[in-house]
Amino acid sequence: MMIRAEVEQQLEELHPASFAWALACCSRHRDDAEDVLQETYLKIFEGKARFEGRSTLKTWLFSVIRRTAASHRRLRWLRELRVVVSDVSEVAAHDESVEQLVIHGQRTSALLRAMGRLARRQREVIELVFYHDMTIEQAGSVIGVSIGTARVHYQRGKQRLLAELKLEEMQ
Amino acid sequence: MRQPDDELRQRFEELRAAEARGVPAFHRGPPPARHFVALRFLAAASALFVLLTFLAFVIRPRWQRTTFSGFDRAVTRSISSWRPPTEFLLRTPGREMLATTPLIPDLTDVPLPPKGALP
Repeated sequence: MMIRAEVEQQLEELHPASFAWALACCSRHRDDAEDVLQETYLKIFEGKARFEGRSTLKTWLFSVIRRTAASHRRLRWLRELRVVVSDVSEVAAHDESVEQLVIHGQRTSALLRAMGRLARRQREVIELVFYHDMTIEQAGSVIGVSIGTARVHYQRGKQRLLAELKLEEMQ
Repeated sequence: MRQPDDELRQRFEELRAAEARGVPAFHRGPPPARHFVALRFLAAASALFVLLTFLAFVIRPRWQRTTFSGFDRAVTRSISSWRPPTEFLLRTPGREMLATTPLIPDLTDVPLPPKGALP
């Protein structure tokens, strides 16, 4: 059982990777990714999500982020009803957190467009393996599928991604 | 020639570098205060409103329930028995043929005409 200080330290070390994964789970919407990541940390600190050592901390954390993002997407309609009662100075301070896509260069934009055309699980496995340097087994653990299924998603995803990237280059 | 995997790794490395620049600060405690009405409270209030509205229409006090008087029933009967003044225009000649099925007569006793008699 990890003590809170250890958990905080490990979460802080994984924070950049966690944010990148949250971005992937939120279609690169920065505001949503920040919310999802904060909700994840809150769940962990409040004991609603507990690491029991069945996988690596990173794998477990990424699966919690993924589930939180899914729940965040389902409640989107409810968030659109929210009433902002903050004063003007608070609004000015949060200008940077106005919902915006992360700005990318041409090559990375092409990659993201190609990724967007993959099936969701293929995209997730490919991102976990190539972006986050996970093994296929770890990627399968994050998205909740067996290693065999994860391999199938990986193979098909990779083929499809390479084909889409070729199309992007031709355009 | 570059292997496809190397190409993908290179691409994702570029993506990682681009996104690394925008990582927000790590917050140890609860998220920064957001000044808006708690969503859960709003959801509960909305649900309660819908429920009360539904109950107000479904479960009404006895004195508010609709009752039909003798006069209401008389009006209903006269409405159902009313015929339009132009109803006769709908009585087209031969319409009884459309309302009935003609009988096919029994032709077993009718002799057939000889060969060559019909055109």
